[in-house]
Amino acid sequence: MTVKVLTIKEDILGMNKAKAGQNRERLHTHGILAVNVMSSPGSGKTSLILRTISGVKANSRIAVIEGDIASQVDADKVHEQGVPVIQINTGDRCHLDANMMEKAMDHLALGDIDLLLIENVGNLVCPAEFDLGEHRKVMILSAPEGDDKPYKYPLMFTEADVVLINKVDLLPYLDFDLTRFIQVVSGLNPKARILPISCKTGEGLEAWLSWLVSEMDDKKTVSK
Amino acid sequence: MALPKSYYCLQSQPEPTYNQNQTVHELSITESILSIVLEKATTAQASRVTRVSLTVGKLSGVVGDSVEFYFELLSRDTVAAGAVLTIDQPQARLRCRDCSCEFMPADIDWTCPNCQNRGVDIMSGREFFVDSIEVE
Repeated sequence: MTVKVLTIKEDILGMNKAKAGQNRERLHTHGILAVNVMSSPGSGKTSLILRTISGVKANSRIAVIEGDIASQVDADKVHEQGVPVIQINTGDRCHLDANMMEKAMDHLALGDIDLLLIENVGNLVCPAEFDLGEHRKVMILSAPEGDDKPYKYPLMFTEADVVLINKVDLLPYLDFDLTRFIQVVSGLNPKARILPISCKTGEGLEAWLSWLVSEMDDKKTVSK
Repeated sequence: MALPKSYYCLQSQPEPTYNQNQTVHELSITESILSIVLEKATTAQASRVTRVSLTVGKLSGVVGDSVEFYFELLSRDTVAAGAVLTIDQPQARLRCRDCSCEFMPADIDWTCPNCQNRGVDIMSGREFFVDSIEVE
């Protein structure tokens, strides 16, 4: 038997990226802004989504995709707000991928949506690597997690368009050095918008919502 | 919990025929690797794949040992069964945006050793591809 060496040089995540591109195109056709929300478990993804729904639902049509390994507890909360929601239970996967995203989109009336919020599986590692077809990546770091996280998970901070520092109402009780954290994150990712917020008290949410609204306006302008 | 009728819950079902309860990144990644390998092997009309060479940068967040484990599991009953997996792992290499100094970071500290700036670009370490395969 002759042994042949085949040079391949093929991106392992290529199939996911291709599918994500199709998703992005499909969303774009409908003028939808899709935002992928990522963080550790318990940092406030669902709280942010609920706050965002009440902040923008008067003027925008929102839908939510909830990604969790198991359970529908988050989807139930979103559903109570009267917003279309699709729950994806990933089972043995620690992140959403473009394929799951496509299936979830099939169940949404895309023509009736301005903003699609995607809550990724709680994890600071791999969600950043898997493009879903979203337009913007938002990551939340909650202050109790500590200001050293950019060193431990640099890729997530490098990929994010917006870094939200949640639970800032707890700062007086923590050793979290906000100035240093902002310095480190802007060093890794000079383009990231860094916004301190509290989903509990509502502090800082105006800046987040106005960023989101301006992104939605841009999306509509380019899509039409 | 009963599902409200007004929304869907999609259960993501892994396609290959294994039935273990794992929650890791490397599983879906290894599926992608295997699918690339099998596609190329089929095109080349190979009867057996003897080696798979991967490039997996240190910053890619992928653990080589797990990929090996899943590869063995997933490639059973395929032409790639028993193939040797070789993994090249390029180190993280960063470039300071201020002084352009290139350096290998010590673990998690990404401060420029030359000017102590924290603004860096990633030059290498994120590579993640199937480099080549050997077939018979």
